[in-house]
Amino acid sequence: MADEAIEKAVKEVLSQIPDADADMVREEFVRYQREFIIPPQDALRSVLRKVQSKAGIVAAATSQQSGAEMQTAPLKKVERLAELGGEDKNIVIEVKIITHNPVTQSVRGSDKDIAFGTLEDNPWSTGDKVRWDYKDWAPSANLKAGVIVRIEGCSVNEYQGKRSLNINQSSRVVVLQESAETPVDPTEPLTIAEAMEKDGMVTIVGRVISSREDVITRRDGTGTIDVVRGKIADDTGSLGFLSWEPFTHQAGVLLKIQSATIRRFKDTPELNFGRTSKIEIFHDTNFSDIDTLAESSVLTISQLRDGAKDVTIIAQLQSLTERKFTNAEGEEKTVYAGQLIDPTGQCKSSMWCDVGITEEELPIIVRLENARIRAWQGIPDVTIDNVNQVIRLEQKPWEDINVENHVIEAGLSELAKSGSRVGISTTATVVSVRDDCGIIWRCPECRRTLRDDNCQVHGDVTGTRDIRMRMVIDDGQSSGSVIIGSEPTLAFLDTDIDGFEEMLAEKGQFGFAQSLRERLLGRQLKVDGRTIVDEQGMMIIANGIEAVEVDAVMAATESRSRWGLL
Amino acid sequence: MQPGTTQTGSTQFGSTGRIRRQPAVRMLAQEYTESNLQERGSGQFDPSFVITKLGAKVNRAIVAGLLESLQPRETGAGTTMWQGTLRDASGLHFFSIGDFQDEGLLVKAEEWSKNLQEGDPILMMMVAKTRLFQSDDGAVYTSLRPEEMCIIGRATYANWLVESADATMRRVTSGDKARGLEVSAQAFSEAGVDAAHIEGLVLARAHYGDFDPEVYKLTVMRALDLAEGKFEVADLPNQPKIVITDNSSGGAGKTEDNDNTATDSEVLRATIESIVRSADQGDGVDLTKIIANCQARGLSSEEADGALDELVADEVIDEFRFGWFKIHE
Repeated sequence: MADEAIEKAVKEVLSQIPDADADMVREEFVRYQREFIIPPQDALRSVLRKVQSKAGIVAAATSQQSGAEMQTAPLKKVERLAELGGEDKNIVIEVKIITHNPVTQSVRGSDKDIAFGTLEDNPWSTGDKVRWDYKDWAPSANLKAGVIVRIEGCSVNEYQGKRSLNINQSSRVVVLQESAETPVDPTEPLTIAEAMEKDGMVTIVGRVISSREDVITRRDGTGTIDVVRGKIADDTGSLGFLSWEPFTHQAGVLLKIQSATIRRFKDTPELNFGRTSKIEIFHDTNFSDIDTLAESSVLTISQLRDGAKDVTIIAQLQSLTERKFTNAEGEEKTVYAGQLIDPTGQCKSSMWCDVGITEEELPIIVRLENARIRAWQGIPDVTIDNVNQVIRLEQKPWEDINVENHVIEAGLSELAKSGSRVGISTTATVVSVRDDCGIIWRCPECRRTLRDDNCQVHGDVTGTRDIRMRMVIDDGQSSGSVIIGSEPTLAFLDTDIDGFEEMLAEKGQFGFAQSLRERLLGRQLKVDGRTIVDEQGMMIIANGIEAVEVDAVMAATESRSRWGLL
Repeated sequence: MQPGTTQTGSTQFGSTGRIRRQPAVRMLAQEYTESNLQERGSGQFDPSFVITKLGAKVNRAIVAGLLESLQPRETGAGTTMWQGTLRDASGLHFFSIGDFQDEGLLVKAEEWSKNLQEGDPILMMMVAKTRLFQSDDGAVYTSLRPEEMCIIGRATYANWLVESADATMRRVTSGDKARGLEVSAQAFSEAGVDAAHIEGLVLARAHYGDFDPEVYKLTVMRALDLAEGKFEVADLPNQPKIVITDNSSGGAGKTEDNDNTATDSEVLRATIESIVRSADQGDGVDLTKIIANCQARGLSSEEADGALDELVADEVIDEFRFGWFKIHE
C-alpha cells in the first residue's frame, strides 16, 4: 500500500513533467520516506521542485512591492465609550477621572512611572455613565481623581474581552474642569497578603511589629527628610512600611490605616503613609498578638525577596570567608561572605563585621535579625551590618540537610513553582541554545561576565577566561534557563580545553551554537544541578547534562494507548 | 499570598511586571493554521498569544517538518527577509525571518535556500514566536517568526511528532470535558479540565464555539503512524491539488525582474487558495477581497492577480461569476 502511494505520486509528477525520469522520481520518494519519514503525499511538492529544477524550468520570479504601508489612524472623536471598538486608536473623548493611582513599574530593569485607574464617560450629563479602566503610560500631571478632561490620542486596549483605555506617550490631556472633591478612599480593608499584590492606594488593618526613625537623603542633594520605617503584620503576612509623616505608634499597637500607598522597591512591596493617609488605633481582641506575628514573620530562604528590609531568618551557616577589598573611596574594607542553607534552598550572606564565628564551629544554626536582602543573579544575599543581628541557636530546627549527595528527581514545572533548590535533577526538551555558548571572559574581582573587557562594576579589567553554555529547557508549560559551566561543558562534549578551543575556532561562535542545536534542539536533556527561582523565572546551574535518547516508536505506542488511538 | 510563594497563574508575571519566558507549545501545523484568535495583555511588554480551537495559548511554538520553500524578499527598507513554508504530518506552516533577527540565522537561511533550490530535502526544527495577520476585512492568517532553526534527522522529527501528538490529545481531552458546558473557568474546572488548559479553552470556546475534534484525532494518528515508521497513511483532508507553475511557457506572461526580488509562486498560490477557502462563507469571494488579503500579507496585487488567473486556468479555483471565486469542487 505504501508502494501504491509512491507509484501514485510518481505518476502525478510525470503527468506534470512528462520528461522526468520515473526511476529517479521514485527513488526520491523512497528517500523522503526512509530518511525523513515524510510520506509521498507530503513530499510531492518538494520532489516536483527538484525534478523541475533538474528539467531546467525556472521558478517564477516576479517583482515584489514593499510590505503593507504604515498608516496613521485618523482622529476618532467619540462622546461615549460604547462607540469604541477594540482596535480603535487616536481617539478623542471627554471623561471624568474617577480614580488615579500613580505607580512605579520596573520595565526592563529601569523604573518607569505610570498611572492607572477608572474613568467615566458622559461627564457633562446626569444620564447614565459607563466606567472603564485606563492606564497612563506617561503620567500627565493633569490627571487626578475628580477632574474632567479631554484626552486626545488615546487608544483602546482589549484584554480577555475587557476593554480599557491606553493614554499613550503621545496623547494630550486637557483639563476641562478641576476636581471638586477629595479622593474617595478605597475603604474596604485588605489583608496584608492581598495588599502586597496591589499597587497604589489600600486600606489595611495590622499590628506594628517594629518601628524606627530614619533619614532619607534627597537624590538632588537638597537635604534630608525625616521618616519612620517599620514593619506591620497580620495573620497573612508582614509588610515593611515607610511613613513620610511623624509616626509615634509603638510596636504592638493595632492600627487601621486608610489611603496608604503600596510602592515597590525592586521586588519588595512597601506601604507608604503620607499626608492623606488616615491612621487610627483599631480594637479587635481576636487579632494575633505581637509575639505570634513576629514569629510567623520569620522567613525561609525561598521566601526572601530582593530589596526586603527588617528580615528575620533562621538558617544554617555552611561557610564563612573573609575577603578584603578597597572601595571606590580608597578605604580598605573587610566583608565576611557566608553560605546559608535551609530546607527550602540556599543563599548567601554578606556580613560587614566580624561576628566571631570560627571555621571550627561550622556548620552552625543562626538566627539573623533585621537583615537587608539584596539579590545578585537571583541568589538572595542576607546583609548583616552589626554583630547584634546574629544569634547562635543551639538546636537544629530541622533534620540534617545533605547538601552534597542528595539529588532529587523533579519535574520542570514542579521546580518552576517552588523556591530555589539544590541537588535536583530534571529532564525536559531543549527549546533554545544561546548563540553566546563558548568562551567568555570574567571579571577577576567578581566573576561577572565582561563586555568588551569591561566589568559593569570594576570597569576595564583583564578578564579571566571561562567556558560556558546556555540553553533553555521546557516541558510545554514551564521553562528553565540552563547554565552549564566549564567542567560539565567539557564533559558533555567529551573534550579538553584545547580540543574545545580548536572546535570553536573551526566552527566560529554561531557555527558552534548551531552544531549544538542540531544535536540538542527538540531533544530531551537531563540536567543535574541547582535551581535559582526568582521573579524572572527559573535558572538551573548544571553540574552535569546528558542527552536522553527516546525511542519514538515506543513513545508513540505509549501515546496511542494513553489516548485510546489504536 | 505569603512572600516567596510562586504564582502559578498561566500569565506568569512577576510582581515587578516583568514577564517570564513563555513555554514552547508542541503543536502540529493543522491546529495552528486553523487559528484566528489573538490575545494580548494590557501592558506595553505583555506577550501576545494565538489561541487555537483546541484552546492552546501559544506565544512560542516548537515545530518541525520538511522545509518546502524558502525565498528571499526585499523589504521596503532595502534589507532582505526570508519567507518560507514548513510541512509537517498535518499541514503547512508559513514563516518569515526578518532582518531584525540574528545575523547567523539570516546567513543560514541563505544557505538552506540555496540547498533547497538544488533539490536537497531539508528536515528542520524551529522554535518560533507566533503571529497573526489580519486583513482589513477581518480574514486572519497565521505565521511564525523563528527564533532558532536547525537541520534535524529522522529520529528528532519522530520524537517531536510524538510529543506534539501527545500534547494535541491532551488538549482534545480537555476540550471533550468542557463540551456543552457553560463557557466559564469555574464550570470547566469543576468538570475536571486540566488547569493549564482552562484559560485558553474559555477564550477558544467563546470565540470558536463547540466543534468536533475528530479531524484533529485523525492527524494525530497520522503523526503517530509516521513516527512509528508506518507509511500507509491517509492523504490529508482539504489539501489543494498541487500544480507546478511554469511561467516560461507563457502562463500569466510575466517578465522577470532584475532586482533580485523573487517570491515562491507556489507559496503565493497556496496563500490565495487558503484565502478563498477561509473567506468563502458559501457565496464565493470577490476579487477585491482576495487582492486586499494578499496585500495584507505583503504580496502585490499584480502577482496575486496573475496567480489567481493560473489557479483558475488549472481548475483549482473557479470564477463562477465575473470577479467572484470559489474553490473548484
